[in-house]
Amino acid sequence: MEYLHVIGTFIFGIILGYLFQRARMCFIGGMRDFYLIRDTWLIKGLFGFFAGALIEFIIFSAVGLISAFPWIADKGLAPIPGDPLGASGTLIGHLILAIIGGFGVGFFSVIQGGCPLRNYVMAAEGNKTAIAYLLGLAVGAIIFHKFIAPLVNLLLYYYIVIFLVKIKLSVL
Amino acid sequence: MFPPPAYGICIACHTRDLVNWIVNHLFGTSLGLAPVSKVFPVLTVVGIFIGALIGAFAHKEFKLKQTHNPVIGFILGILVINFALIMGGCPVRETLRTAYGDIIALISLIAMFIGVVVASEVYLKRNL
Repeated sequence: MEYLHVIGTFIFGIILGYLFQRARMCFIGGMRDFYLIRDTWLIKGLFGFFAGALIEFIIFSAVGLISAFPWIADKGLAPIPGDPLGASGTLIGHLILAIIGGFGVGFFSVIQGGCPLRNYVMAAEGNKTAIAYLLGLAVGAIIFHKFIAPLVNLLLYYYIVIFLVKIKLSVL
Repeated sequence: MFPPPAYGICIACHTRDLVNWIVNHLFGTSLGLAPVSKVFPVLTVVGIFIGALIGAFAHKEFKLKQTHNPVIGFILGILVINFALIMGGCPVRETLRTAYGDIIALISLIAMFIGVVVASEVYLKRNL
């Protein structure tokens, strides 16, 4: 049972990889095509993914396999754990990270020509640029946990301290 | 061991889990990863690569090619995973999180759309 998640993600990964290759699914590409040429083929994939996840979460929540669904009713505005601030972060900190991160991912993914998922598929189709991009992902993950995550925590900590001091000064 | 909510598929996080687990075991470091991947990492990204390879070979779409300079691709990879991990997931997981009912994830998806619009205006329209 300890290795169930490994077998599960591997098998589902193979099925999803095949389907994503056939559908040329791309999240960033959907937004880009919709904005540039009003083509809705790829953005339908995004909404389909969203709808499928929503239905699955509702069913799993009804059966009792997942808790705290819907998240906003249970935990309020605090995000699902994942960003480097973790549980100790403030709402404004999470918001700043979501906006900076989202903008950066959107901007650089358009220049690369697809979201990380699409680049895995393109690498499997023999695209040398995408293979180099995957190496970049691996190196970037190490750089992130070695340097960027501590830096983000430090910067936002000081930002919030300054913010609080300013509020206190304006009250006084 | 339960993963965080809405963690079923996330390209950035699962790549991070796999790479950091390997580096931790090779060099004895303690880079961060999700608790679910402590003993053995999730293999979604390996599965997706193999699945896409099967699809590409089965339909004769495999062909060595190059869209732009691989060095630029490498740098873009580093940039994208750093921004993705800053917001806590790649576009796929942000969609999952939004479906789970997370407002911050919805805001990050909107920020992503703004990033796409800006890049389309300043980069794609100039290079088309």
